[in-house]
Amino acid sequence: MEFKISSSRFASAHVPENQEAAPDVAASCFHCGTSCEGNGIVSEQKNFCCRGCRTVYTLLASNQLDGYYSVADAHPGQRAAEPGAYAWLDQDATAQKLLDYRDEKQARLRLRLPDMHCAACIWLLEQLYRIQPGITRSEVDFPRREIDLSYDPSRLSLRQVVELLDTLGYPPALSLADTTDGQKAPKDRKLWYALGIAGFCFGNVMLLSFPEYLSLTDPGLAVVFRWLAMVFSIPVVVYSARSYYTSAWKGLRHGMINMDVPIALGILVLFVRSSMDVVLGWGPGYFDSLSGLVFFLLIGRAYQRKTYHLLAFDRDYRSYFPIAATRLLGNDESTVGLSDLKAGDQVLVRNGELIPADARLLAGEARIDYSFVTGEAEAVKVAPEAVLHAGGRQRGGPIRMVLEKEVAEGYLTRLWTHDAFRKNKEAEVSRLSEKVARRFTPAVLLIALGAAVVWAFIDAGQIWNIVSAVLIVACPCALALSTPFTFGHILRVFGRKGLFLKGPAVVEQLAAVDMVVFDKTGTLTETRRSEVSFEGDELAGEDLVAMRSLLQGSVHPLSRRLFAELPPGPVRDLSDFREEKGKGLRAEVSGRRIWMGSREFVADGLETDDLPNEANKAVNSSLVYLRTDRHIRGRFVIKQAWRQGMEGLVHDLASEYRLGILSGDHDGARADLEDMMPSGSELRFRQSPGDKLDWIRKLQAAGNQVAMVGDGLNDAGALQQSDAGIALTDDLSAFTPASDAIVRGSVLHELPLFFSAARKGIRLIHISFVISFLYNLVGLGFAVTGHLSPLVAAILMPASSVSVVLFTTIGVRWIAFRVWRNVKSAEECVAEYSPEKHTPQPL
Amino acid sequence: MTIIYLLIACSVAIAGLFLGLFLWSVKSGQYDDAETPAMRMLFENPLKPDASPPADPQHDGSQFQD
Repeated sequence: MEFKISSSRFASAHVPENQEAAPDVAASCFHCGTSCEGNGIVSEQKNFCCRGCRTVYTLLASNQLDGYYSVADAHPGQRAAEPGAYAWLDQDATAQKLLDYRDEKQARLRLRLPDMHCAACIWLLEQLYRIQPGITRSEVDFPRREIDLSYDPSRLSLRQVVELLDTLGYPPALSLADTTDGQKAPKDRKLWYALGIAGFCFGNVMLLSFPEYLSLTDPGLAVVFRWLAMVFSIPVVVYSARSYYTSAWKGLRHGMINMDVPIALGILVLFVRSSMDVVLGWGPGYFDSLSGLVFFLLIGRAYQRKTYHLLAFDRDYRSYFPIAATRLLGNDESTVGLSDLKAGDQVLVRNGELIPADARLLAGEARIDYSFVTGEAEAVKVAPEAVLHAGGRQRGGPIRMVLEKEVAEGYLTRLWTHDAFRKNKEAEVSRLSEKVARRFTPAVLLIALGAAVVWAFIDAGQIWNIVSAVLIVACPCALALSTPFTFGHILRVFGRKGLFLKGPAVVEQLAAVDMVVFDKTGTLTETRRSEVSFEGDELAGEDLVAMRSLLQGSVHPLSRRLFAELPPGPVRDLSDFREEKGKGLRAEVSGRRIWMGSREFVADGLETDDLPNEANKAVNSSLVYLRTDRHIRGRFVIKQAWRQGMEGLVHDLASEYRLGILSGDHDGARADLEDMMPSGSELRFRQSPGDKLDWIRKLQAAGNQVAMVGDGLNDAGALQQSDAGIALTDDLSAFTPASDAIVRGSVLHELPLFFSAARKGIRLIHISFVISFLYNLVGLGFAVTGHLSPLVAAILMPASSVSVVLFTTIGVRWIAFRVWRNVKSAEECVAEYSPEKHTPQPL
Repeated sequence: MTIIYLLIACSVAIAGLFLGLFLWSVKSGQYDDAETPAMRMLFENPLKPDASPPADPQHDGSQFQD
């Protein structure tokens, strides 16, 4: 028989009912949902897997908050951290950095709780005052996954607050960045104010202009209306349009003519000309067009400003590092802030913790997982006195080390001070509209000048009127609206599909790409989910206990993978444990002998030939045989797990892009990759983070527009250097290195679609440029002949804007529909491109 | 036609009132997070009548105050 291993199947179907020490085997914890096998606690007719979960339940129930369990989807609770994990929060200096405000009576802070995920979480977190009266107020900002809470510092310490949140299953994300950044980014409300004021003034000016359009006013009233319109335009010009002046001025100072230059010029000329008209009694002025222009532009800006609060595109190493580490002074352990660590300090790092700074190993068995830092998939065993790099994660027992450098001077942190991070990528500025603006503005000025010269011969008194009319009508309102609306729509469509862009300009970067470079570990392969399947006899609960016990003692990657696949449960002591390098493991567990390893190793001493044939071995996979006593029970097939749909992705991309692979790992997968990638692709292995950056730079120097797809800290430099750095994540609340875009792992195979949609979007903008140019031409026709009445301006301006906005809105929807019409899910891609590679052959 | 001046004054005053309300709502944070309140309003009221939040000295009832 053959089955795929999943915890639930093991827990429910393959564990016999007669196991000892399991009160109710199939039950899962009422609070956290994990299996209660082995050491469950029954309380109030409910099963709990541990005391922690029961405590949380009792806590909630005693405060009449057990409605939580009916609101929550399943069992959202989680186990609490070990006691003392937050001891460092008792330090005043650290706490002070986290708090936003503090006096004797109350303290306020915002905490990021990545684990909140549904309405029930909001409900529970906003009822904290009922669990802990010391908390006076708690308010959740769900899109940001943040809680803003106030508490009474005389009744409660910061540590107690954090521990309470942790107990409830919401461990706050506390990283070095939270303390060093000090102030969190202030909420930007300026645009709302500007928009509100512009809308208010626009509405009133329009009302006041209507009598003028219809020529209904008597001369006395008309003057009053004009003056009122001017008064209403002042806040628009002075306040609402301010960002355009600053942006235009900034551009000019850097010697660039951006799109805001003609806009700012248009607004100012509009206001001066209109004011002169009114003050000198020449006419009604163009205040309606002026306030409408600013209002529409601001709407465009607001529309474009789609932000993903949950995601951070500019994280650096400080968001990855913890706030505190355990320092050893003699035999005393104390928790100190990372910034207080100095070279020469002795530090204790426990299982799963990060190495805070470059250090030398003193004692303990160090097996360091650098996968996130260097891209190496396998944990590295480090000899005493050897150097440990900051950012590695210890897997195994506690280790002691002496720091060689301070945190900010480590190998990784130095990478972050590399030029690539200092270079301002100007992601906010759209290159496309800038290119247009660079030609557009001089052209308009030339036309104005030409008209002035011509009119000097016809009627010199009209020159000012004509020139200002040209500048007014040439104000690229529709032009300036087409990019933000198109980009805004694309940002929204992409976000819905799983690709989140840092800003609108990234769309252009994606469209320009002609080479795609992938990181291997974690990007093309999925480290945490390599596929494990078992072929052979049905395994009983006792077999699982034996395997767990055996595998637990080994750090071989295959052992660790298998161990992770087995459902959690009890472990027994081993006797006669042997691990033969490159062959396998064997030991005696409660009177039974168990072997796991290669075919030869497991079959040693058996005279059978009924072993499954090696020839059946699928590509990209490793086999681990299992033997208990004298029986070969079967074999595990561990496929090197390419992320689902990768063959399809490569196939789709290969026709249009050059491809490359940058791996920090050894070249063990070279053959497979060469098989998969089209010829002419660049494959590079054993690349340090610095190498990756340099290589991207070399590719760019050779004229390539490079998109880099990566996931780890080791890709950070390359992501930053590339023209479009795309960070990959399976969990949106997890740390991702600084990048231009973040893509969900589940839609990586749709990357070609995103590229194609981005290119089509750019084409759409080009077309809308043409449309708005046509309007401008018509307007210029009126202007140079001296026929631009306020009414013509008031009709032309909104007509052009509305038609361009409509065009881009419908266009983007059409593109999204066309591009994603035939989209396949990752599973279908797998089935299509490699039907035999990905299903282990049954015996 | 002098009535028109009164009408203009009235309409501007009313529009100004709404502008003021809008600016206040932005200032009090109502435009910062458009998602959470939509979910919050669906929750039942506290089960126990006496379980209302204690008065917050710094935040006179306005939970949006910054």
